[in-house]
Amino acid sequence: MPATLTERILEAHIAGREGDLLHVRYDHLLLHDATGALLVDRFRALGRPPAHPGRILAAADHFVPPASAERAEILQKYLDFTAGLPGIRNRPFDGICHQLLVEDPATGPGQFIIGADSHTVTAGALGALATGLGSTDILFAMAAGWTWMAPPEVRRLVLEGRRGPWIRGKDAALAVLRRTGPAPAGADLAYECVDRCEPPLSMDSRFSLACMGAEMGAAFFLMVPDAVTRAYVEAKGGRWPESPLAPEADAAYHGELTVPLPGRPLVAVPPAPWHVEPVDALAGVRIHQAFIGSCTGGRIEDLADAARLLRGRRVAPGVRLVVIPASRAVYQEALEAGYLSDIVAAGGMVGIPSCGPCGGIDKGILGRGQVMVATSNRNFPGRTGRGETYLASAPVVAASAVAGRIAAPEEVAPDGPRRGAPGRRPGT
Amino acid sequence: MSGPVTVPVFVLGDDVSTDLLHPPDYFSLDPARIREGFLRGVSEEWSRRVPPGAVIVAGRNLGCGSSREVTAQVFRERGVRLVLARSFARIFHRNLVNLGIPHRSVEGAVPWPPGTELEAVLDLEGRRLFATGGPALRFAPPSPFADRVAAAGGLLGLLEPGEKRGAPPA
Repeated sequence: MPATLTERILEAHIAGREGDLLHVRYDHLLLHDATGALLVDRFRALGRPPAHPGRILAAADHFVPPASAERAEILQKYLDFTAGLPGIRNRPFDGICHQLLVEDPATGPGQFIIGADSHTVTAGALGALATGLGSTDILFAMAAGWTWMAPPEVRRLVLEGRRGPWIRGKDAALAVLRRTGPAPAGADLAYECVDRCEPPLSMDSRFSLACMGAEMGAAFFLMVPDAVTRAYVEAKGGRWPESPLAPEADAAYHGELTVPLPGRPLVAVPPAPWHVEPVDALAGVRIHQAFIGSCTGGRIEDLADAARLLRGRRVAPGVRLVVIPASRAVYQEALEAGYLSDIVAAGGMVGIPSCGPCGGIDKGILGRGQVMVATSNRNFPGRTGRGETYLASAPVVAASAVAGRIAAPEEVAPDGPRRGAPGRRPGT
Repeated sequence: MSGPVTVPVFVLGDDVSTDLLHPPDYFSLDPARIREGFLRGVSEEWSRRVPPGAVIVAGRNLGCGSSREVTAQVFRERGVRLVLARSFARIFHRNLVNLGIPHRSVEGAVPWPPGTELEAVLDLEGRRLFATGGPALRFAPPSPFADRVAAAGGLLGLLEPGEKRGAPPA
């Protein structure tokens, strides 16, 4: 039977079979401080080195810098552990693990990637099979050199339509979530996504879209590589693989879904990412905080959009605008491009590369009755403190910060975004 | 295998996220602190009161959200006897399997609304949970892999020397 791209990549990584389950080799294994700390003692007790140290990328991004003494100790335990693993790519304090992974020249299409964080699926935007796992899964994979999984059901997803000037990957993700809801019961699901948008989504937008594959309940959110992918991979000094990067003709999918890009930006309403409405339906919702950051929304495209909307304007009185670049490289680029200066001049607060308030960690947790609009990925009750979180693209979040309530970008910048690609990184 | 036993049962709804099962504030390496967070976002009262030996029943997509493994670990720490759900979110399900925490998929409907607390009879062999004279909840058998992992004391048990199937496959 003709194979999907997911099946072709998986087949190239199978190390063994056990009944209906596959044993799968990985090209990269991602660690971060919070979930990594959970495996330290058990790893030491195993008394064996990692099977493939060169395939481990270790970030420290959650408790960075720590907001409590307990978290300082958790972080230190993890840092001591990773410092004692020779041969790994140890990148503490350089940014959010998912962003470091996709910036790394060694990460590319056709690979199989696992990580100790649900949003590892982000790297699927590069045409890789990338999935999040728990700490015991990761510990086992570190020691054994492989992980277990059931073959996923592969669904084809086609994104199409003319992309409006303020439509971003977050809007595409919310359009898919609006259509599919949270997660199908039963088998693991893989989305194999083809970008037929005109113009195509940028790589930054694709990372945002693939990241929210986690909220779709997908094990994998794979984007079929194209010219946009290739330009990004080559510009970061990566290698474009010779292995096939497309599904076979007439590949058999478990269903096909065509989702048109929305004409207007979308917003996810609490309490779940799949409660999606057009921004215009929510324009009266007052906010206390606007957050641009996280592995879903802290990239250079997001910061460029925010700067464009904030330049020469002021954040509404009483509103906190928290901006956290996703990595040191993004931070540096935004500094050099002047985006952070625009954001700070408008009254925004810029944090250091880390997860920030996403996941209830720090720098912008909500109190009871407070409302936030955020570029992050989840708005489940209790995730970001005691308030309510709406999810939206960076342009919507920046416009909302200026308006003091949820607002469409056109309300703040009726002339539309500036022409030309901001920044110097590829595909942004 | 022991016969039917009477157990306290606590019923949750659909899409109960990891943030509700175990809020991020309770992420810790300290088991006592982890235990405090159990079901904290669902009900502070249940969080304090669910006794060891309880059965937790849920609707669809239980444990959606974070990969934080403490969210599954806490079920073991609090001595939960069995977790039953219409469906489990993917990573949360793997965490239950990998830690050897007993769980099953509900077949058909959950006969009690979310928020219900009751005493019921758990018949593991007959794969049902029922209140005397009341409706029964039926559940599926465990998957062979989950069973093997549980018998090994968790996924890491497959790495032990002498556990042949834990060796890297050919």
